[in-house]
Amino acid sequence: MIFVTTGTQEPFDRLIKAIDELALIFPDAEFKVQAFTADYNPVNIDVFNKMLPSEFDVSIKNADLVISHAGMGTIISALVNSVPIIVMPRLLKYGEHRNEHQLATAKKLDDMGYVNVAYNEDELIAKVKSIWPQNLESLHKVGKVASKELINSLSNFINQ
Amino acid sequence: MKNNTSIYLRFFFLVCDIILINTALLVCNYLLNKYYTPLYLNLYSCISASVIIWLLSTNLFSLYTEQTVVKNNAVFRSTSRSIVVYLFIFSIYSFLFTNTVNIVFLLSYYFVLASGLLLSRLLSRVFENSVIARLNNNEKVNVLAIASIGGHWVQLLRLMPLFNLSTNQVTFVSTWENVDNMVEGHKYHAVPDANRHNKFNLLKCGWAIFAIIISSRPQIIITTGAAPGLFGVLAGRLLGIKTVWIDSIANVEKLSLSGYIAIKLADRVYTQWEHLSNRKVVFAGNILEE
Repeated sequence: MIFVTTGTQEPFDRLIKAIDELALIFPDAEFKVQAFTADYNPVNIDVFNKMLPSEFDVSIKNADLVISHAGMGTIISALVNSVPIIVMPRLLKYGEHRNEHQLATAKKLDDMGYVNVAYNEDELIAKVKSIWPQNLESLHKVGKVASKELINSLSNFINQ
Repeated sequence: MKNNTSIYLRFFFLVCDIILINTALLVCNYLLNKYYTPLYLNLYSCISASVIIWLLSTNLFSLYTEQTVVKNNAVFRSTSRSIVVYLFIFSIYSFLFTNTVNIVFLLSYYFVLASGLLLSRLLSRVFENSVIARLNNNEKVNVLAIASIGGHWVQLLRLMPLFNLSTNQVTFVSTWENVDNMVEGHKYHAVPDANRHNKFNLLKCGWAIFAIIISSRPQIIITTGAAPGLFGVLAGRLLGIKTVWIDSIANVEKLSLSGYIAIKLADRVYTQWEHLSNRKVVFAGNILEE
């Protein structure tokens, strides 16, 4: 199953359009899509508007591949569960976010080799074609909690 | 250090209350003399008597002891009981030792006195954490953890080892109703969501955060953002509560706008990227690496 998610706040039509195309290219793949769509009505996939966090967790765990915007919530969940993930950053020029931080996050995590990044729709389709369904592997795994250094620093500050 | 603070503060509370009681006495005396009828009170003996009676009645209910002062409920209870005893003894005193007993004076004095004390207690309730809770070294630290839903919330939850420490008692705040099962064993409150598209909700969100902070009276507020967290930091600043802003790991090139505002307001600001740290912004690892 390919789990697609665009976060809790805003529509991301470019991604949904690309997924709609991918669903045509891979008719056998099962797509589960969570998104707020604005102008674009997908024809090949069903879309959930809102998902409970518990449902979201189950979807990530059961996914063979996650495709999402470059939101940290989804990225962390995928990394914790060792699920391969491709992110496509929301861009300011399309009004998809209030600033360009998703692009910066995506570039940084790309450099660090944590996640696959597609910078536009064509790259996304090419990336999926190159890894689905044979070459699925998670690039990086993280633990369940924050670094000890941060926890200790906070704990010291609380008790100061 | 803490013990010294405690003695000074308790003494300060006592002096404030005695000033309040006698101011009420003087004001009532003055107003009634001027607008109603001359009272012929001997103010020196009245004031000394009221001080002695107040000390006696508060002593009965241990109003200024370390155990009472650290808990606002205990302060309320003790104050109300002390007032009753004080009024009772003061009434007897005025019947026995003042030449003309004036019921109007007594009633108005008691009314002003009770409302003054009530007002001072309500005021101290708002500022409890900046003043009274500092004396409290035995109990758990009352922590308020705030994050809007989504990535901010996911990052906050990764600090769970901190929140699960037995020395902390944590209340969580986020923007969805149905996520309390993610923080089982802790208290949870939902506040209205706020983002750039609904400015009116910002007001509702800010109001809800202030209300939660005044009712749950945390000693420290920790947030990973965004708008609700910034309101938490602002409220903490106004009410003298220690605040920590942890900027989202998604802010790689520069701090978020809220993060920059938090530098001005919060007691400590963390970034999760070492290259963004400086004199005012602390780096100590991030929420990713275990």
